[in-house]
Amino acid sequence: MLSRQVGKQLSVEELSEALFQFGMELDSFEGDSVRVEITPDRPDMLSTQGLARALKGYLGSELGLPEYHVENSEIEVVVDASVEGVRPKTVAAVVRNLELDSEKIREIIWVQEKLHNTFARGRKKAALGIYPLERITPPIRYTARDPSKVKFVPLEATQEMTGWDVLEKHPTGKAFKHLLEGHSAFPFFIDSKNQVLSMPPIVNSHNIGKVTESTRDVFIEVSGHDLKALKQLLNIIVTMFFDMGGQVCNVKMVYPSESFYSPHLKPEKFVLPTRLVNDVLGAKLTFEEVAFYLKKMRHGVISASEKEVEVLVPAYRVDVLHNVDLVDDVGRALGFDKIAPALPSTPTTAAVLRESVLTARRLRDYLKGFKFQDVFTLALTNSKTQFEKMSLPETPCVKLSEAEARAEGINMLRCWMTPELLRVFSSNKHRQFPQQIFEVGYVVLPDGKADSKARNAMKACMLSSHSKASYSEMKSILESVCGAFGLKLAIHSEDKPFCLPGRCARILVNGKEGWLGELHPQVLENFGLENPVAGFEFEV
Amino acid sequence: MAGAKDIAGTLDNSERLIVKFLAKNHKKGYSPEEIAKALKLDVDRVRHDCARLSDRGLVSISSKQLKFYSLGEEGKKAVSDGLPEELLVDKLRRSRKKLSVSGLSDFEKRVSLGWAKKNGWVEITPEKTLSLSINSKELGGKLLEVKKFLKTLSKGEKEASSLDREELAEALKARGSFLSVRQSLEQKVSVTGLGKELGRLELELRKEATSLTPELLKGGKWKGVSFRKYNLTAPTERVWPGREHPNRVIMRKIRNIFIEMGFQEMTGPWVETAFWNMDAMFIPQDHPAREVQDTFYLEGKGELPSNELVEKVKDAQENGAQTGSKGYGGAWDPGMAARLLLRTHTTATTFRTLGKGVSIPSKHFCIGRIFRNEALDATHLPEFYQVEGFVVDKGLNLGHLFGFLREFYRKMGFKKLRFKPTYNPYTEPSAEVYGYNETLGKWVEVGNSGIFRPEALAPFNIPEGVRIVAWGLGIERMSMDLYKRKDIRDILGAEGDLDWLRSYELPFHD
Repeated sequence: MLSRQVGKQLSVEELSEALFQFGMELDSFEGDSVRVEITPDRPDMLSTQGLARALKGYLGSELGLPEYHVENSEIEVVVDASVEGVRPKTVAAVVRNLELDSEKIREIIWVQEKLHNTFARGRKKAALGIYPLERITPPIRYTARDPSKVKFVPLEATQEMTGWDVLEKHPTGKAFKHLLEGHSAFPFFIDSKNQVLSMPPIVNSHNIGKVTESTRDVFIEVSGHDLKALKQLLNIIVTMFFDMGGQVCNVKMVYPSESFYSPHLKPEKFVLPTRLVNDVLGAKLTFEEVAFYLKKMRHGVISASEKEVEVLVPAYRVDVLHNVDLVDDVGRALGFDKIAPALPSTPTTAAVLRESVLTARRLRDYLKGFKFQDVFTLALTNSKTQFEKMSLPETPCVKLSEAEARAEGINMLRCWMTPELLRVFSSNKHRQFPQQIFEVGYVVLPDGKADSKARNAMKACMLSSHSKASYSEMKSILESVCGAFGLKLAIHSEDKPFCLPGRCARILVNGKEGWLGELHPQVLENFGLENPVAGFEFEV
Repeated sequence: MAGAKDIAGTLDNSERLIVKFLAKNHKKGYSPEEIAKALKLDVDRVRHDCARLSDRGLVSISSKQLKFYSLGEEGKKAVSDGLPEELLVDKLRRSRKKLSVSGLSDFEKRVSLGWAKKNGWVEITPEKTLSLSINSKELGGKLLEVKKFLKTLSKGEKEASSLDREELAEALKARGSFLSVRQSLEQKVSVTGLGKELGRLELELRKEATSLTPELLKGGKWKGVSFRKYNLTAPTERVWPGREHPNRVIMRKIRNIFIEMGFQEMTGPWVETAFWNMDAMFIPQDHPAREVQDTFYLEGKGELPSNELVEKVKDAQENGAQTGSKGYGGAWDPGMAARLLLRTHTTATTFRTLGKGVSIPSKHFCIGRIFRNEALDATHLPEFYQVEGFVVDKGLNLGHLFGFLREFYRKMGFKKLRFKPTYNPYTEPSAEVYGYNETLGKWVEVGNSGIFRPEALAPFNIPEGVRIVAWGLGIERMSMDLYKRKDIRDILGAEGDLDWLRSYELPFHD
């Protein structure tokens, strides 16, 4: 179907290659239909019509700016001041002479949903309504009313409901309840016969808000907060209907303080310096080539010279903010494969961080010399592992905000290493003993002085697990490490809940806290371990 | 050539005994088993010693492939009960009536009749009855031959050449489990001329030690002692060194490559404000990636940097600053920028670095951990590593970006690279990096890159005409590829297999 619309017969490989160069991905194909992944900057390509429009240019069957002729519908939408505090803005349009079938209706609903989920940020930024015009008696009023006093039959329901009922009982109402909650008046589109068209951004009326195969003319509205975004969304949907063969007609938007006609399909003019294109892409394109590639991307070109190209950007393009966006379009049309990789002769001097290379790497190299295995554990963990299983009360640490972590068993960042290294033993109970491991890496500690209220602290932890693992084994190693790295070591006898009493020390390494000792059998049991473990951890 | 006397000095006790034994009994060769038995030595030791003696020309070893026959299941049955065809012929001879084929048992039809026919002892008449076609005398002779052969074997395994019934044996072998055949290499060791000469010498047995001790070293006592020789290929205990973690091997390589290319290393915290992770680089405040499905947010608020910078970022977001950009419009909310989160990309660290001010030109990189709110599976972890890099200089372009990336991946051993246009809010043009995975035989996405947007640079006093090319590349996917691991948890996290960590093959041999 796409190939019919593109006006070119393409093999799957050719299409896949063209999409790659354009910056899209061919997800899958089945029979004559393909699934294409579109990046979020191009909501205009979510519809088959929009995608075909872009590909026609890219593949060369139709170049330059698509022209849109807009007729006058003589229909007014009156925006009441009452919507100001709820959902203050709307723009609308009319499309006539559509020939709809079930497939097209399915596609319209699909595109509407996709736009709602992506560009419209789950209807928060904008919500789109499409209605059969023949059921509506204009002018149409956009107004906020007491939801308990307005009754209508929402889509696919069988009886009238109040605004509140819709939020509580209708499936779409329940899903988008949060967008109206806290307001005492809800927005409604109401025609001159006082029929409810819809309650945006929730749901249309079943009676006069449902497009069917017999619908020829549609009324389209977009409501939300930011007029610019609403206009963009309206343009995307209106141009889709245009490409379905409809005649776009404008609507007069009457706001309390101003009036204007909608949709606004006029292209926007950019003046693109020709040099910028070659400077950014590292190419040597002539201005004619630049103009040609812009037209392939469906831009209009008013004039082109060595100095600059006057570009008309179609009204459905929401992503063009700056000339670099046009440069990127030229790059896509040219194909990134045509841009030759080159190394610039930028003279610089290399430098490594003392922290990560000199300290951590030298320490790791030294610890490996004791035949301990370097391990690499995760920073995300949970308070059960970090505190409870270690027989410790919870102390301040960096926690994730509540219940949002999707991966199970995660609620904080590790504040010490030892419990995470014990987990390595837990997963390797049936591997060869002795098991001797270490990790030198970051933990995260709360820090009121840092702008992000936390700091990375580098810790070194070594654990030895075998039938004779002992305090003295690890003390020897710790003393050797401190000697080699010139660290001042102080050992104070102090029991810790996770160690065997009398076989545990609080250590200070260059004044920084740590522990050295034999782990408590209860802790070993908590981690399901069957061999003694001795070890130490200190901040580097 | 060394004389017998010289060689004698190099022999240990068991070797001396073997040479003496063979020299005394030089008429025939002996198998290692026979030597071991005679000298009361261990057979493996004797084999080992003989090989060494042969190397020095003192003995010669001849090897012969021998075949041994023994009785199989059916063979044993035939010895006790008679051959199936023999039984059938007996039955036929004893029967007064004619035997019809249909009256036979399944076994008789299938096996007994088959062989009887094949041997030409029985024929089937057109009426489907059996008739004997051999006289008793002839039959007796043939049967006797087979039965005698089987009987010989019933006493135990026999070497083939000693029986000299190759043809018969082959025929029986073809009959399923009548005979089983074993092949074995037989060695015969005999003494050479040099060995004989040596054997005539008066050879003293020396004191033998299992290991060299400090005691033996004192005052040259070792000189009077010989050391037992080892079996050099015997299995030994498996030992582990302490090794660098496989992912760190990759990171060390990556760090070296960027250092070679003149990059300086930067660092940044894991916990960030949304300001540095998103706002500063022109990610709009309603961008989907900011949502909790993708980002780990923390409790509390962080602090924003200087007012001046915050104002500039606000201006870029709302109006595109002075870059000629339209900006995103709307009102930028500093409260959202103060939210705390776990950095979702190392680009946060790049912008922190830009915030501190960079010299032009300069090149920067970091290898850092990033966090994404994803469910855990074989290819996804909620945290992983990225190598971030950026180059700031006048006149940099997309070709230069591709150049740096090609150079980096070439040094990592990835030869084929492609770039696909993509969308990032903070770069334009933006390119996804695809590497050709030789094992999978397809292109895989390995990273993201681009040229920073003017709006993203506007707050950081980057002069006109100076551009920054930048990239963020995944490390674990590269690791998984280089180590041929299918599960990312092998590479990162507490669930990795310790034995693999202690024994993995290094991915680089340069």
